[in-house]
Amino acid sequence: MLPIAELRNIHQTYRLGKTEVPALRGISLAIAAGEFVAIAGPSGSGKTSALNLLGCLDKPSAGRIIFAGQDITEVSLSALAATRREKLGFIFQTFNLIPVLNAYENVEYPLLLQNVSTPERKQRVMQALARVDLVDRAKHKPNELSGGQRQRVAIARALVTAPAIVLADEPTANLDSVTAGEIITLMHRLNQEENVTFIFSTHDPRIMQAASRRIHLCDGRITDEADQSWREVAYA
Amino acid sequence: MLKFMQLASRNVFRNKRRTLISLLVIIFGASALSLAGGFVLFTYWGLRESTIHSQTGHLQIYHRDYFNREEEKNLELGIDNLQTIREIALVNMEVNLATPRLDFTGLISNGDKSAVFVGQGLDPEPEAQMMGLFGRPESILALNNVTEDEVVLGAGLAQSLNAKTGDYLTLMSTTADGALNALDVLVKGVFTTGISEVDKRFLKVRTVTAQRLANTKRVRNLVLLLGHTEKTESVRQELQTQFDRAGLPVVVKMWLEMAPYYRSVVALYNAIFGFLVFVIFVIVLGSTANTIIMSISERVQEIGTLMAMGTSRRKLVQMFLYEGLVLGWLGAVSGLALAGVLSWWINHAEIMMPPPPGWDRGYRLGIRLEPWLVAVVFGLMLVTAVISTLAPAIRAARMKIIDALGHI
Repeated sequence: MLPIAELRNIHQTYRLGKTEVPALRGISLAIAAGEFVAIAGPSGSGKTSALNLLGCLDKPSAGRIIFAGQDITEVSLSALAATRREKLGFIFQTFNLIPVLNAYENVEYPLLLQNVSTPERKQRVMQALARVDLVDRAKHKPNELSGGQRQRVAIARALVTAPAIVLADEPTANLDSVTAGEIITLMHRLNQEENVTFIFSTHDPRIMQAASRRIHLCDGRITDEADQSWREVAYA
Repeated sequence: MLKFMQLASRNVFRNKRRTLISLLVIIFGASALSLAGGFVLFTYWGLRESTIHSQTGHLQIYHRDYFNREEEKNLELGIDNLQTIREIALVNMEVNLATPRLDFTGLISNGDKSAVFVGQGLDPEPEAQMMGLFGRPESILALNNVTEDEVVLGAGLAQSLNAKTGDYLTLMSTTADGALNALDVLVKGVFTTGISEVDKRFLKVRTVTAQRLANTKRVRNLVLLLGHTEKTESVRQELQTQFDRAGLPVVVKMWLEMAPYYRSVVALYNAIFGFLVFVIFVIVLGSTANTIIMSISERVQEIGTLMAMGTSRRKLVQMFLYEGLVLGWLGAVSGLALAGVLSWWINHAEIMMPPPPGWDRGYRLGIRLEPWLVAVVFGLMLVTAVISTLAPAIRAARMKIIDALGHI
């Protein structure tokens, strides 16, 4: 089986003033459909950089990114935008909902970008809200929702386009432990029951525990893999 | 598109106070431009109609060579087949009135003192009819005795000759043959044109009196009044064709060609109004740009999120342009509504303007909000708002997504 996303010998360097700071130093990994992957590591280890590259939000300094069998390293910014629009969903640490839109409209937004018809949009948005148990909060603005509810709206927004991968950057970092637990359970359920592929960057040990695969990064390198099955998937 | 417009509208009102300030600037700009433009149009209209009705008529018919060469003798290039020309002109349904004029110059004397004058021979009744509400026809209607040679004097001229109604004065001028002729005339009244320099030299007599003085049956020109000013050019062409066909050696001139004062006022006002448009354009541009820039700087992370979800740069620019459009639309509509209310009030308030330079009486302040002016101001406000949005929107869309997402 081909991996959905693959990083091959990726180097990523950022410039801070006159200094070049290496964030990733030759990492390779592949993600298969249905995985529940946690990328862990201390601050500055390169978690977010790796996630940004997998999410087509950034281009690497060196190495290749393969998405659904296609090398997308050199494609245009508009092509990357199209990939994000069609194939990826994002969940952010600070939820990043659009404050002027209510829960329904926030979830609807990615479908507007895809020019989905109004009846289909309505059906898919309500389904997505039902999946996160927020149908009764559809008309609420983000500032009328709790942190956990906001993150569930963000999850519904990430899922509504049926993406190949959902990327989540520390999704529980801004939540209390009970709510964080609920969010982890929800995402795990979606992974188990609906085969949604999740990739997280996290410090949260509970996510690490729930993950089917854990990748540890330190100083821009993969230092440990709790589940080596990805290598078989990637290079079978 | 509707959904994105809706999103833009909500974003515009995120910071109500800032939006209100911007809106007030656009409202001010739209209403100031409309009122200034309406005032200019009123001035053009008033000056045009008063020029036509009290001076030039819509069309003037002259001898074909009158404007091409100098006359060797007085009225050498006058019109002598007046009746035929008048009949042809009056057949045209648009021509309401045709009246002859004969201008002449000379000396006027009270026996003790003489003064140079510029005279006009005219037919008082049709001239008074032509003046309508745009002049003071009483003065020329005083020339009511066809059997006697009468004159009405400009106020300054009457003063310099110490002449009053009932006095007799002597007019001296050259005849069509080049001889000197004199005529005693009865003073029937005094008039003012509104321009004091003109009043010091100007006098009016009946056409027959002027013809008697010049010893001719000719007139200088025939003045036509039309039903509609906007049809002037088409009627001019029609009449010119008819006169040419009839073999009459005349040329038909439009009022605008005979009104240098009107043309210079229009040129001056156009320059002033153009400058005003530029200043308001800059103010509105700056204010709207400030609102959009502030709005963008507060929403950097949100812009990152929108781009992360796959919003293209083009779409993002479009979304900000919608915000500019919403701001411009609201400001323009409110500003034009305000201008409508203010112009109604001004038009009913009987506010008098001071006399223009060289004039001795002011005129009523009026505003003409013509549909095309409203459309131009509306369009200008929208275009200004969109232009001011464009640069910050493009800059926002060029942000790196990861930088925008990491922005706090």
